[in-house]
Amino acid sequence: MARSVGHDDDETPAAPPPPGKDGLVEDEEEGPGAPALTDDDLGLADGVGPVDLPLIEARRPSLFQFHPKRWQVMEGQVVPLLAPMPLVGGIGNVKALKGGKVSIATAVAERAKRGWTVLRNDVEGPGTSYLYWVRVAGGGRAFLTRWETAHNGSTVVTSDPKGYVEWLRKLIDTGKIPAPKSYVLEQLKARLTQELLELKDKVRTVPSAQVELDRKKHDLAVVERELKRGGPLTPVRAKPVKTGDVVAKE
Amino acid sequence: MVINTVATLAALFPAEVVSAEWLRMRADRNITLLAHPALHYAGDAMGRGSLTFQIPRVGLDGYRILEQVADGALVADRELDDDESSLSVAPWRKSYAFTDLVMAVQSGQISSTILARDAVMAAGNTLVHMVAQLVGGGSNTSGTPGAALTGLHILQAKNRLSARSVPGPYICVLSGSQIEDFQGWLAATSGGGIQWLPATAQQIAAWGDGYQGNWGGVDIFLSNRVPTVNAGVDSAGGMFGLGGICWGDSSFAPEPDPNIVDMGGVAPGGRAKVRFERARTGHAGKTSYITHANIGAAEGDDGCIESIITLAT
Repeated sequence: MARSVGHDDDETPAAPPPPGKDGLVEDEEEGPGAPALTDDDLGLADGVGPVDLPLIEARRPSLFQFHPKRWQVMEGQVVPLLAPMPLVGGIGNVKALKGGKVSIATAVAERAKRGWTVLRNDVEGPGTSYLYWVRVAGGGRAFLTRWETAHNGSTVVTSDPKGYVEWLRKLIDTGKIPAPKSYVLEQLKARLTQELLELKDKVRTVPSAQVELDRKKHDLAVVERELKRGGPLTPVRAKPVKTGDVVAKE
Repeated sequence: MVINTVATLAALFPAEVVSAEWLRMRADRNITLLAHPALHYAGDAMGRGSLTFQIPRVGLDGYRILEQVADGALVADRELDDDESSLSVAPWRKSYAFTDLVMAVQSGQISSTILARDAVMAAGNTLVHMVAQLVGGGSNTSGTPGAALTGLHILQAKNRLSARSVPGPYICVLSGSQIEDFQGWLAATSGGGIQWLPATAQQIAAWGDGYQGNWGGVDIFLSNRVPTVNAGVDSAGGMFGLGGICWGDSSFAPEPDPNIVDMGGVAPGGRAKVRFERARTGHAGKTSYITHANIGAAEGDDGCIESIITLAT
């Protein structure tokens, strides 16, 4: 809203400013204890008020989906690496219905065929939600997860990775997500070991890689601890093969 | 003494004039990514009786090798290997409404020609948005969550796709922060065995603004529509070959209305893929310009996708 300098529309114009002041209103006090300068004081014709909505784009919600092969070390814990499933008609077999709603039955079935489990919004129980929405400055709503925070007047979205990891561990502990199988952890351990070896070479010429090296050592220790925690694998039942079944007597 | 200045003669001098040439706002414009051989086009739903495609995969062309049998022994008939995935097409629209006054007063920035061009580009960008949303959802992952993307991660993804016999060439879609980290890694490493081939002006004209270049035979595209994971900490980009991500659409049946223009869009076949229509609301003195497209995309063979999960900021 434009505000004129020195006077309001319904009042008589202010007296011209004293020479040298160029329209700035003279404060009676000066220094750190003086009242804050207003737009009038600064000679601003247009008020610059705060933007009271986040400056992020509107975005549709996405549900989480879990796959038993996708695990990671995050914040010092072994947790699943969940993928997003956008709730948008036309993407990934989500079907658009009237009234802005979508049907995910086909999407869930298609994903189940490939080993994915879709985690509904209230996976912790009725009345809970891992999603929320905010109005955005460009119009519309942006859906975010509980661990993402949008800020008014900013494009920045801050994260709470610790809270997210605690939530994931809780889902594992309550059985909503199955614990990682030991062969998956072995693969993760092998990958981390390889990365550790590469970093040990790198740190000889790039000293700053020491930070990453230390982090990788810690992650490897976390996976080894998780491996020890898990019990032995239950093998698939199979009949032993007798030589005579496949090799002729000669 | 009174001096007449530009400020005091406000009635004679407008506050602003619109420059003769206008600039485009920043956006990802990658529409020709759709012509890349790695993206599988499932077909046109027009006249097919359903909005859902079933995309079959058949184990032929040498998929199964022969079985060794003893001389004179019978060989058992075996089932032909097959699998399928599906994708659904959905309507997508956009509408801009302008009053008669705006159209009369504006000095050429808005015209039906400009809006029609926007319609085609928007339809293409919408499909690219879908691809970007899907590429991070593969069950196979490369990259290190929480760490910046390096060329080793891209090489890892490429090698894993090759190891799974995924036919090339591959396409890699990464977020802006992933591209930034990759470019930083390229600059910091020297004497690399794989040369980075940055996009030339002709390639950008052919592939779109988002084409970054080629590294190790992989075409790399930037899309800021790649989603984040891990509470926004990481970007979920990815690499895929033919069969990883499929898309389909539905053409429009001809409509003999002079206010409707059907355009070929970017799909093969040249049928009317994008509908651009003009709708008048006389009571409000406004005209709406509406873009329609019916498109859908979904994962195909999960083994043909390698998601790349690395730090988002």
